[in-house]
Amino acid sequence: MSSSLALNLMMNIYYYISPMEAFGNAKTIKNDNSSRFGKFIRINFDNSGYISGANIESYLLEKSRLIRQNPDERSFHIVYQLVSGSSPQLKKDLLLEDLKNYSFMTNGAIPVAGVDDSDMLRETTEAMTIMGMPPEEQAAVFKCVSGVMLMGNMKFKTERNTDQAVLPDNTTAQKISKLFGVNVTDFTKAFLRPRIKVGRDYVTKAQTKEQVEFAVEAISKAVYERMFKWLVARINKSLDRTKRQGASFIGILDIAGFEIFDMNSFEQLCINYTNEKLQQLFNHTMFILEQEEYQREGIDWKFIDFGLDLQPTIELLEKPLGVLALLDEECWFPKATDKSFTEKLIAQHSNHPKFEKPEFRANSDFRVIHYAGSVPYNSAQWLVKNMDPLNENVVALLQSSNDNFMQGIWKDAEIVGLGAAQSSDSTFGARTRKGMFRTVGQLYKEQLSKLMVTLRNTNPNFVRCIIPNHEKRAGKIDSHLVLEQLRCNGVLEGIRICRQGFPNRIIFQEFRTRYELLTPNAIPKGFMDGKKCCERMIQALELDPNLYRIGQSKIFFRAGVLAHLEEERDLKLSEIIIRFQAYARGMLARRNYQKRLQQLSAIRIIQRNCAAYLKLRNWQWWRLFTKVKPLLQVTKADEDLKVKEEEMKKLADLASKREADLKEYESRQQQLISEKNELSEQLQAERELCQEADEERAHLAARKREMEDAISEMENRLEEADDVIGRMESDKAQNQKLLRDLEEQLEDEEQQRQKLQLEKVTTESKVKKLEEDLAVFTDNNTKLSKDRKMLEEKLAEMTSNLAEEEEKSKGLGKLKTKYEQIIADLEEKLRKEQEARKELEKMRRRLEQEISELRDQLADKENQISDLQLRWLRETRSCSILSPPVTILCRKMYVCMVLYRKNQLQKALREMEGELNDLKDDFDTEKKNRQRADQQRKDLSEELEALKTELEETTETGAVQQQIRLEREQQVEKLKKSLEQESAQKTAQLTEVKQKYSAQIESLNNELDNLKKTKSGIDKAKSNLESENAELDQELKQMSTARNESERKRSSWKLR
Amino acid sequence: MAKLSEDEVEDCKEVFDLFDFWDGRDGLVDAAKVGDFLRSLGLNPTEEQILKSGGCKKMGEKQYKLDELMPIYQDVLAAKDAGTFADFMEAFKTFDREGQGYVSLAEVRHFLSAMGDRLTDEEVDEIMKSTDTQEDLDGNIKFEDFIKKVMDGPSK
Repeated sequence: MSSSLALNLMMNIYYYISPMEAFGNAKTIKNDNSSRFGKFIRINFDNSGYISGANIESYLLEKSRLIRQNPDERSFHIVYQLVSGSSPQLKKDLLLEDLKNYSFMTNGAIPVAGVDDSDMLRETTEAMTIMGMPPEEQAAVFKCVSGVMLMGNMKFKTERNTDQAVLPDNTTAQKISKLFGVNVTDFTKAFLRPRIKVGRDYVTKAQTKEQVEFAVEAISKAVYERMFKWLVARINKSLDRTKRQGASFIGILDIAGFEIFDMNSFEQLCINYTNEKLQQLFNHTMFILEQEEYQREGIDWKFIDFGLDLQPTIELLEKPLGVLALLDEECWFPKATDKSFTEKLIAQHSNHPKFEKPEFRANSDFRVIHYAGSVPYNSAQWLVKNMDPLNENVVALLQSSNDNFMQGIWKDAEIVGLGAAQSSDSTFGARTRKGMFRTVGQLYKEQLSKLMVTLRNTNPNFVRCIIPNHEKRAGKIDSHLVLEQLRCNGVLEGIRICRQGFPNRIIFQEFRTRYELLTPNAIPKGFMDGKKCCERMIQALELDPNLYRIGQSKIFFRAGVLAHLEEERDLKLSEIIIRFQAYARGMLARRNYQKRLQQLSAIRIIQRNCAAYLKLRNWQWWRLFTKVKPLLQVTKADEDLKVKEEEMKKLADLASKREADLKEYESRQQQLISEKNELSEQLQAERELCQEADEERAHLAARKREMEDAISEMENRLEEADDVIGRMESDKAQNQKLLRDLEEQLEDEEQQRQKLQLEKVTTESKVKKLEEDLAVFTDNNTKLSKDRKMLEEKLAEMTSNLAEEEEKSKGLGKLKTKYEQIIADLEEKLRKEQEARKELEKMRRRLEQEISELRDQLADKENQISDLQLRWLRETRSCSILSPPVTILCRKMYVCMVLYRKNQLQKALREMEGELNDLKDDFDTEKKNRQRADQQRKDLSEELEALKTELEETTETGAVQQQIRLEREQQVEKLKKSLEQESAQKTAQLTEVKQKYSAQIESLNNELDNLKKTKSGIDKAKSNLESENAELDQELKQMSTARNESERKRSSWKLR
Repeated sequence: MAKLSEDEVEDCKEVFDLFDFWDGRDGLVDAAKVGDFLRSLGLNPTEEQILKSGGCKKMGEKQYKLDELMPIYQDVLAAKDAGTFADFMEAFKTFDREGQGYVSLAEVRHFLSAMGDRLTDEEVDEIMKSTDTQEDLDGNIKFEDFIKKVMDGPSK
């Protein structure tokens, strides 16, 4: 494969992508040329590094875009390209309409800035031509697009009386039918009244307007999708021209990114599921594998866990009982709805850490926590989307289309019928399962897991597309938006590990071959192992030790180091290559020079000859020479001679060869002659043998004739003897018949005997059975006695228990008396206390009385004092008037005395009060004591009560147990009795039966004896008959001997 | 600067005559032919050297007489920094993945025609033809032989 062809193929790959973009890309709010399908492009390389082919795989085309578009978004480019770019002729052929006339075009014509759709159509068709699509195929594809667009223009109405949908105006249907190559009546009928298989019969089913519209949309989408898939396959066919197996490939996976909208549906789930898996791959390779590699290579490295494992979410989606599996399962249920699906989902996963129930009043049905955020999903239409049902009638119609293209894209269709999608249909589950139909989810999961297997076998590199702003403007970066994206997809962690780690690594051997150039003399000649080589090379390169690490089999570099080395290598290499090229050029130039030199000398010679000729041309002798030369034979003699000699030589060769051949032939001839002689000798011998054989044959023939004569004679004689024998034999037969009769009688007797024996056997078996029964009964008996024993044991246990209980109750009684004594003591104490208290009370009362008396006295005294004071005052007043000093003195004395007494009294009073207080204290303590004693008493009495009740209970249980025991004993008694009765009965029965049977046996034996007797009689008769028979035989023998004799006589006579 | 020896002068004359013979015998040789002139005299100058010493890339820019070409020859002859066999071996070795002394012919073609002073595909074809270099079944050539042949080519 030459390099130009490879280049060509590379250009082609570029070209081939462009029709795919026309059919699969569209303008969205975010991107004017957004691809609405995922793709995996493989570019295959052969062993020498040339492109050997390519292959594209597509995933999940967003086909719903065909039917309706969000505001400010467009349908697929090709629609606009066809409408605005096709020539009038093409427009007519394709039956194209104006953009605003298509009801599938929600937003009509929306131009894309800087793009001319008609130019694009030219590019698309050009690319299709380059990739080798003939014009017919292109036309077929365009027709298909046009037809699909027209599908939306069929306006259905509901019939007035029934729900049946009708198509009042079928002009559009006619157009579509023409484009799709089907019959228009069949086409409309397939939509309006499809035939559906019910049981074994086909029935036309009425369709409502909504049902028809749904079917139309589904078919439109399916046609477009199938056409797209065909296109991808077609491109692959063109790309994969070489049969050479690619040694390696570069794959480019371009797939829709993570999506969170206000309303997220099944498509979003699929896309997000994919992204989740890819992100997991990213995390795995970037963080896990990277660090594992460090560990494997023994590089000093601390494992960093970035905590980015997405497995829980992936499992939530794809495991058995995961979201997709539940959806599939629900699709098989006859009466399932989107709502029942949601309910099942919530019931199954409400505890899953990555699954969330919707908030109250949210319009989502559940949420899944993806790596990029929590996404609310709305499960409306999921069942239908997962099954993707199609109207079978239309599909069948399209499959039999007279348009090859349309027929081709539907060839391998396996679909869920429209009838099956109506969940009211009871045969739903059974019907779909039969056809091995697979759901959209299943297919997608399968495709994805295949892709993941491929990806895992590669060395993945990740290109992250970051949207800088939402306004499609260049140069503007919304840093917040960018940072958010980087954070989501783990790029920041990636950068971190790149900074800290050693992102570039290279195997020792490869490092050596690639960079040895840079360190010309670092490695000595001869063998050296890879690691040491690398160490030496690194030394020679004088790298900072922090920039590299040497592992077990690889050398690791920090970011940028290897690039630097590579640059240096390039520089060095190109220097050497320039030198080498100089040598090569020198070589070429010198070759060229020599060629020129030779050419020059050739030219010189020709020139010289020409000059000489010009000089000689007019010389007469020359002329004469040129004229005469051809006439001279002499000049040729030598040549002739040579030719002749050569001929001669050839002939001589031939002759010698012939001679050799001849010799060979002669020797072969001699050989053959000797062989011939041998053969003729053999022949002679054979002939002699043959003559001898002939003679013998003649001799034998004569003898044969003689023999034949003798035989015929013998035969005659034999016939006569045969007659005699025949007679005798008839006699014998009669005798044998008699014998047979007798034997039959004997047999009958025998049979009877056998019957009797049989009867005997059966009776014996009956006896055996009865004996077995007896054994069973005895078994039962032993079992029952065992039971009894058990029960008795139980009873013993119970009685022992009872004794224990009684002992316990005795102990309790003792305790009770003890406690009662204590209580009596306490009560006595209490009484004493109460008496003491009463006394104390009395004392107190007395003291109080005393106190009151003393108080009265005191009051009297005080009254006296006040009187005295008054008197004293008066007297002082009178004294002052009369004789003051003496009286005053007297008075004073008196007063003093009074005061003194008063003090004394007060002291006594105080003492009394102290005493009283003491008594009160005593009283209080006493009261407390009493209370405590009361409490104690109460407790004790309670305890006593409890003990009493316990005692009662134990006695009660004892009684109950005794009762039970009695009952059990009675039962045992009863059982014993019944057992005994039964066994007696059985033995009686047995003896009876035995007697009966022995009598029977006896009678039978008697019979047998009789029979034996008769048999012996018969035997005797038989022996008589046999002897008769023997006699007859003897007679026969005699007869035959007589006959023989007669024959002999006859023969001798004849001979004579 | 040492003078050229008589033999060398004679060689120069001879080569010059030939070049002159083929382009019109006007006693002048185009500057674009300087490289070929030097090569014919057994030198292996790089493109850079040629341009530096007065060669041109395109025809018709400049013409040289023999007297003017002689000093150029002398210059280039004096500059003795041509590559060695060992250098070339090292360079080829970096493309030898198995270390068995073989490289893929495609690779050689690639670096001759896409790196350094690029040779045209035709020139590369010519080199392969004149060194009688043929790839084996795996598309490889033994590079030691190839280098030797290129270096040994017709010396003058």
